[in-house]
Amino acid sequence: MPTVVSVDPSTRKASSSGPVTITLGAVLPTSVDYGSGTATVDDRLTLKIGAQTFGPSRWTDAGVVTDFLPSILQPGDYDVTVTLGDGRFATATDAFRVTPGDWPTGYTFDTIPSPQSSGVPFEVTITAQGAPDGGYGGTVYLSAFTAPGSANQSPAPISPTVSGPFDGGVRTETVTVTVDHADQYQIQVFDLAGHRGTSLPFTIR
Amino acid sequence: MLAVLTPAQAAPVVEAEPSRLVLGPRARVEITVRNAGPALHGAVSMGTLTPGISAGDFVRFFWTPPADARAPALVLFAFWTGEAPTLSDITVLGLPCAGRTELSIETEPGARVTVEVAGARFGPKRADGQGRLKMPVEVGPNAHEARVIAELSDQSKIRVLPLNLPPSPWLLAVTPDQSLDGAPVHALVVVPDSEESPGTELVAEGARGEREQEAGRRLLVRVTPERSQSEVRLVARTLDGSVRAETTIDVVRTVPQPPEPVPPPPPPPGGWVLGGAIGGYVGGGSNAGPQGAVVLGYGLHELPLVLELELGVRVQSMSTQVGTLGVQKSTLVVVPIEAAVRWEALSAGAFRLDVRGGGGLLVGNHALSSTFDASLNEGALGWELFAAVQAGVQLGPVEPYLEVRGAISRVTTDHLDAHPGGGIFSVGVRGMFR
Repeated sequence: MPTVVSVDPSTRKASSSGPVTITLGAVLPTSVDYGSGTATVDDRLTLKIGAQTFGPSRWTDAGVVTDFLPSILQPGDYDVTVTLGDGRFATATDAFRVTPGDWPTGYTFDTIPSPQSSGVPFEVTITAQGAPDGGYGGTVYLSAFTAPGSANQSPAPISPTVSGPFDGGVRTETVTVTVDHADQYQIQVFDLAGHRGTSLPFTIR
Repeated sequence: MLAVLTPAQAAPVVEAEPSRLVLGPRARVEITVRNAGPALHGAVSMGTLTPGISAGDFVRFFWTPPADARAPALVLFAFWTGEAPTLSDITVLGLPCAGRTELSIETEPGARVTVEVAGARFGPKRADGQGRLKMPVEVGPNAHEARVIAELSDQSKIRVLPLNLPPSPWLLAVTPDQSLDGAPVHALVVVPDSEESPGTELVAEGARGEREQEAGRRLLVRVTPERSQSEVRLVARTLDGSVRAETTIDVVRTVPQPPEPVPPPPPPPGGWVLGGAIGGYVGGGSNAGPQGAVVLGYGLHELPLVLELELGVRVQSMSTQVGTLGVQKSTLVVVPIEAAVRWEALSAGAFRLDVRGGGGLLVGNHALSSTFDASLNEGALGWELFAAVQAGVQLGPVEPYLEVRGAISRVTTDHLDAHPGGGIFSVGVRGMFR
């Protein structure tokens, strides 16, 4: 059976983001055929922290999985579960703890040049307001929608939906918004504690 | 009177009166034995020896010939004291006994005939008108011919008639005269001086005979009856097989004879064979590696077959790159435990050609290791059927041989599919033992 050898770090604030390393031990489903001189290994892998999928979907780096964990987990204790391609799995109960975070009071956007093109990446700069010392280092969710007053009110798909980590309270994110009609749009960010920020309207065509 | 002294101090002194006689219905000889101990034994080669009176310093016997005895013979007597004499303790006396007969002679009519036999003269007697006459003569045991002298006027004619006398019987005596519970007895053989056939042989039927002593024409033999015998027949004869004397020894049982010991079970027919071989095998792909085995066999006595139990070991391994994960290594060690039958098909001089067939289990261990996941050790179980040909050379107690084997084999686990067989080649040596 597979095992969860370690989780590093095993504790983190809800408002923090960054890499987490989970070390796994397992004999992958392997079949050796001496006749053909080949070995077949099923390297499929599902790793979860709580219900949150973590890491790649294939076994890599001898079972040492390091991935970026956004600040998307509410405070609490989480099981870490590993499942191999043949269905064997192991759960490390309460192996990862999330403690209450230190959140900013809100978010502001620098002016987004207008117009932007649908499906073409562009940069937005977001600044966390009222963050504790050192600035906010977590992540935010992103969404896009038509500006109020538009004739055709609708959300617009945006990628990514979770930002990268803020650095010193500032995050410049490259986003892509895909729209089905040219219009005035706004981008909104919010964190796990519900603090928000919305950009000025800009044109996407 | 005839007296015999022997050099041994313990040997009796024996005298016969008369010292020679002519066989007939009234023939009788008195034997006097002196210097004898309390356990005096006497034996004679023919006739009857009857004990007579005994005084303080002598023992007397009477001997009479067989009623129908007419042929001349040298009758032998033997006397000794005790039950285990040596030849020097035994006194032997020879009594020449002559036979009376009538010679039918044909010569010149009216001739005056005289016959000489062994220095004794008989006649003269005159032939009748046809030149015939019958001459009574006495012939001693050492006579070989009769000289017939015929005289007529001033002429004399001598003719020699050969005398074909039967050989005198030998003396064959045993002491003690019976065997107690199979104890050995001593047999004495004395050959008369008149014996012309060469050699002396004593045959013991149902006993083991060992020559104890031999001097001149005397022989002393130790006779040990076999366990199951109730009597032993002794025959004294010449080397050309002519029987000269025979007697029987009774084997007296004073205690019940113990049952015949149960013979130990016969050794198992055939024999055990132990051998060992090393070599390699090629089964396709990465199914290849070194192998060795020890073989214990049992050869059947009735058939040219050897039943064998083989215990071996085979090792194979492989390493392969698995995508971008890394290198996967596998090592399989199996121990074949197999039964086989070997047919010794051909044997020409030292060369041997055998054919084998068999099968069994392959028990082993499979080890997986890689650069990207944990190691694994698992038990492995499989099977094998095989046929083989062996060519060997018998060198004294051992037989080096070569074997070529074709095998169908398979070992599987959740992680393994292997065929550690195929073509198997071995060099071995074996030897028989019991």
